[in-house]
Amino acid sequence: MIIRMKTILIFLIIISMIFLSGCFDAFEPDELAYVVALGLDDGADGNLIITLLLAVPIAVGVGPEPGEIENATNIITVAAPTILGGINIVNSLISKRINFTHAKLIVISKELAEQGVERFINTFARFREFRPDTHIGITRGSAEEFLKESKPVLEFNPSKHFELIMESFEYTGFSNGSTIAEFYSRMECTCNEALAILLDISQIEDSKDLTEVMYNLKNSEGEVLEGDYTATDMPIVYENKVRQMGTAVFKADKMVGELTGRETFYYLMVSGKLGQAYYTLPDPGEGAKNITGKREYITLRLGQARKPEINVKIKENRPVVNVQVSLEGDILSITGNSDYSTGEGLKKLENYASGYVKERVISFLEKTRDEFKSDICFIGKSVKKTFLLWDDWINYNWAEEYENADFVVDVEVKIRRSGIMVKQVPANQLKGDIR
Amino acid sequence: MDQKTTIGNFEAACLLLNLILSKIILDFPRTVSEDAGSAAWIMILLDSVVVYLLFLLISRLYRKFAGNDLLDVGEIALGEIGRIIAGIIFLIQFMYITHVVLRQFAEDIKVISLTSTPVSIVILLFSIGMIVGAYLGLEAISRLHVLAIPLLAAAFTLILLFNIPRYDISRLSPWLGLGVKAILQKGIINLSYFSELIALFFLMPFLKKKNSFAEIGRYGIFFSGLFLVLSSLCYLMVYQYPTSTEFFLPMYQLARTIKIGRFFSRIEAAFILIWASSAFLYLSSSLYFITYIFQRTFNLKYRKPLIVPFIILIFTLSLLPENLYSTLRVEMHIYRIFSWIFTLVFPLILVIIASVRTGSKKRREEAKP
Repeated sequence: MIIRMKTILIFLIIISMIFLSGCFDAFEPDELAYVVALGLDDGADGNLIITLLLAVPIAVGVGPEPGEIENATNIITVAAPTILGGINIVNSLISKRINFTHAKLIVISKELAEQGVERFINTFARFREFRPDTHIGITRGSAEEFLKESKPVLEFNPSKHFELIMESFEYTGFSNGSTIAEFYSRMECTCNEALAILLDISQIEDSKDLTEVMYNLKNSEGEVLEGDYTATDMPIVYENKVRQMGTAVFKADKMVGELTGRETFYYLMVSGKLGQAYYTLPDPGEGAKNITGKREYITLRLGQARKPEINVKIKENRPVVNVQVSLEGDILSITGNSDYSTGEGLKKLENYASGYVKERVISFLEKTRDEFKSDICFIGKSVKKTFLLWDDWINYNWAEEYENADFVVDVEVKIRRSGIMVKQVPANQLKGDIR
Repeated sequence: MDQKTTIGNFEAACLLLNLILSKIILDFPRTVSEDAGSAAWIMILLDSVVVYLLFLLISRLYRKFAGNDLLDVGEIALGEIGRIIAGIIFLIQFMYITHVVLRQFAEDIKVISLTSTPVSIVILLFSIGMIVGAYLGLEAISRLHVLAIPLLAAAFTLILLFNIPRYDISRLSPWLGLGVKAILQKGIINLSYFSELIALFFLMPFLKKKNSFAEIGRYGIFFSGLFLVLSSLCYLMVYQYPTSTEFFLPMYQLARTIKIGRFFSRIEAAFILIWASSAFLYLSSSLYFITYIFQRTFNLKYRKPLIVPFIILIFTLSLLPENLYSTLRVEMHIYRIFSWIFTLVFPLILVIIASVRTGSKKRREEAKP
């Protein structure tokens, strides 16, 4: 009798486990509308303009026909005072329920970012559907327009498209891959400030426009190197109009400025996040110009030889920041006739590259101090480590002290390899200059 | 029937470890950082040392009562009334923490997974598990612990290891956090994190080797201390103070941020499984101890008929807190302030009185012609 009772009991428990598991929370994947990217713009009367870029699972799953990649996504724009309030409105309109678990990008307009983003970031940090690794970008124009213009060309899975493109900074060095988790942590940190990916829509329609764009971008030395601009001015003609280049710099939760792609490269260098990226610098040879009188260049593949060392000493009540950056690289291309692959030439190139990068790192750091007043390179952590008590650290007020910082930068570039060539014999040495 | 039950040292140690460490997956790393800021790990390290030393003292005194549980010691110290008073005190303590933890586990599951399910249903599901565990008895519970604890420990270690790329030691600065005074003051209250150590004194009669309780306790405290310190240390190396005080479930938060390549992410789904296993084991053991203490306190012949009345009581009590915050408040501001007294000081007093009384009785007997 007892054995029979036990069997019935166990049977009942197993049955209840089958039928009770997720009975309230069961969702079929085809009942959900997956948001790939979310855009936020400032609306009228304190409302937000919320734009959702939704994945169309059938189109993504089977793969659209050639030329129909845009069918993989769908856009909805709604006005509401809060993000989730807007989502509620959308849910009443479409047949599926909005879900953010596969969102890859949050785009906020610059106008909103300058007012402060804490109110949104709190939503992203609190609501469990938002993943901590969702990227955060700031667009100069409207986030809605940005998402409308976003047309993945080489990838029909929109989610993968955004994920891959936002992580490309590891091999370009032109962006920073900021995510919700990182942004939130930096925003609340007392020794660091937040940053986001800088995005925009390109106005360049034709390759004829490139001449004018490049002319406008020229610096005092009359040259434009790759990354010497932000997303807006990227000299590219491409079917997909959305661009990613540079960094949106924040102080607390408010956007205070922008870094160009190349400045972002220096940010990654100082903060130890640089992967392996191509880096072009002028040929160090005196008057290294080609036959048409144009400057020659060298392209290196640069990466971090070791983590940068940052030490801060307080001298006469001013923080003196010592930054030591060690880079190593390969020569990938030399446009001129000089050979820097071996011996003295190699030494010359290493010294020149070290000085060249150092000069630019100092000017980048000074920009963060004077223009943004924002320590985005985590320099404050070296100071924080010298404190024992929390109250003393808070009273010290690093955010204010950073404005008085002096920078001593040391950059060492070591060239390890010279591609698959060990030296270069220029054609003009063999056949003379042909005019 | 229960009295014939015997459990090995490893089984007892696993049971003890889960009872003490299950709070890591609840709110432990957050609450300690609220108390001591970035120096939370130092506070827990000190607590572990203090508990270890206190246990050494208690176990030395307890040696002569090996094989007896705390209720027997209460009886030796103060007679039958001593047993009943001790029984009621420990019963209240177990009842209090069990209903709070039941609600906490249920609320946590509701927040991160079963968002639409009524909390009463989640508690009911846990209660079914508790009934099954308590019904099958200590032997089944402890053997299940032996199977589960190594897996749980491995999963916990993996979460910490996968977070290594995000560790930054500078986040532990300022090194003394909210100050030495806060570390010491809050450190005393936080001795309560080891309050489940009391379970060891109720496992005594079931141990195969009666004298090995001191060894089990020492290892239990050492590994509990190790995991508690590691969890708060690693959490603080990822989320600096005061951000570390914001997250409802710190370990879940750590698991959520794990991403290795494009494919290895969202491992918190596995974390929920680990979590539920630990919760079921904790709650089943607690219900077992509640019924065991009640049976022993009032010298009842059977334990199993007590399971259903007590689960109804615990179920009802767990639904009393109005919301999640009230539940946390009940645990943080009431239980933790007092429980270290009942689990570390009270047993010490009982053992001292019992030792004195046994000694004087022995002397009297020896003095008899």
